[in-house]
Amino acid sequence: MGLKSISLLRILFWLSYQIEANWTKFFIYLIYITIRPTFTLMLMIFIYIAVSAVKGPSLEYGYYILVGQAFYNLIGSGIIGIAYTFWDDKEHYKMLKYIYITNVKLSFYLFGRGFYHFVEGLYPLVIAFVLGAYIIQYPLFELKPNFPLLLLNIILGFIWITALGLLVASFLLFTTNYGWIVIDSVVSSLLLFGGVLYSTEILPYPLNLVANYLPIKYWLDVNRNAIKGIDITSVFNDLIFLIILSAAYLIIALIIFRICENIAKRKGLLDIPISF
Amino acid sequence: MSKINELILVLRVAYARAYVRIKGVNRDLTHFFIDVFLPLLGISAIILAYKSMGAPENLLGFAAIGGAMIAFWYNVLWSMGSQLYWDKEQGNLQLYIISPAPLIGILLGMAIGGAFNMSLRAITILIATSLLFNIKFNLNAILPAFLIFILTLFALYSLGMIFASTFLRFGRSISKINELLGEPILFFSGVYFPLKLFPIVIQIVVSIIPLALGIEGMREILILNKTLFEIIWILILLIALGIIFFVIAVKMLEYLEKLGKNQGTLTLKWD
Repeated sequence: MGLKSISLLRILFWLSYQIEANWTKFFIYLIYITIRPTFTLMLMIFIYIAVSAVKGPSLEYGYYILVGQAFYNLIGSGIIGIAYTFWDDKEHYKMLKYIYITNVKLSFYLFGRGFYHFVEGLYPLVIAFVLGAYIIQYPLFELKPNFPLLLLNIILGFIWITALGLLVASFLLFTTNYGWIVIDSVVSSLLLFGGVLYSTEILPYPLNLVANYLPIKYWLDVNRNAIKGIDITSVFNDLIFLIILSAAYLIIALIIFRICENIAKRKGLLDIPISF
Repeated sequence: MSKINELILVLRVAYARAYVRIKGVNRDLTHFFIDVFLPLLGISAIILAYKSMGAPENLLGFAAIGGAMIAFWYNVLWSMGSQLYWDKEQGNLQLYIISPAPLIGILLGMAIGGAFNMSLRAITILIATSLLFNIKFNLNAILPAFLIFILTLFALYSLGMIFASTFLRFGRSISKINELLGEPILFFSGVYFPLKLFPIVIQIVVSIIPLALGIEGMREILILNKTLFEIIWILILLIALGIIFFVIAVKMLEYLEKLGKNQGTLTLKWD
């Protein structure tokens, strides 16, 4: 990535912030972006508390759900950041044609917009995680996170989440009223198949096999271990799978997006807002 | 116009608005399938989470009932609360106002149509969840549960009518308000877990949320085999909330319509 790309990324980051936060003050915006992920996490944490009330606490389960849901929120933020941005620009604001007349590739534009949403999602992740840990009485201060591993994993997460966002955006080039439905389907499927709230082994055959081809499963497992401070060698296999899958998803997503974009261009679909 | 004629007009307008809503949403069966399938993914994940922790059977039923009711809350927020604002943006609101149709009839029609559409979906979701995860409900108590369900919808959609008239005033920021009201209310309604997990003070406070009361009432009847008499307080609260919210909605709509006319904001877009 050259200096020009970094400069463009910075501008896209700024643009995204302006679009998302221009309606209020910075502090209120911080509260606004925190509320939804925090309460979503609380909903899941209370599932654990409900069971604990009957069967007694099992902190490992609590921790599993806590990390799973906190990082799952980030996935939602990242995918929606790309896919919804695209849909909104095309259908709502009708800005897609103006992006085409600039010197930024559409895929890079979406990458930049998605990057903002991903980074923005890290803040509520931390808040929700700390609050959730407090509620389930997890000994937060005993954790000694492996920060380099966690950082590496977050970068890998950004890659495969961006890839999924681009795949969804490819589909949205051709759809009209189904924008939200496609996004919701992907995000909800990840909750079901991704090992967010439970180990994927509990899924019935052959659904459990689906999870093996989803990066989220390995990504969440590495996150759970990295936060506990576990050494990279202990999660080596998961990490290798994650790197391979992330790279594969990104390559496939870029190819599919390019093909879909070309088809949409040929058919004149890029400038046809139909939803609104 | 006599009071009876006024009432007839309100009901005719409500019928017309409800017809559009019901016909519009159900003419394409794909929408119905999607509306059932998508929530089912989330509810399945919650039930599997319970199963993985070896939770007792009644918690699975709790999650199934709560999960099926989630759609109502989003419908109230997005299809009731925001509707008059969207009508304003699209230029329909002024047409409503210059016609003899009373706005309250339009709101009532939106509520009836929305409640009907969502009921079809919620019942399908509940049956599908029950079949998928072999969750047993006390089917002998289906009538009292249905009564609680209807009263919940009355209170919930009356609240939606308050939102609709209030959001007419808020303008563009309503989407942010809607987003902020989504998950917190679901959490305080205990959609996936029993309300009894909350401290008693919070339990008292959340009993002004019709969704929380309705879910709790249906769980008590369909899962815990309680009689209607044993949960009579839920019944009374739901009736009281429904009436109070409905009266507030009517008054608020009158007030905000008048205010909007005085300030010239009824047709002001992007404010």
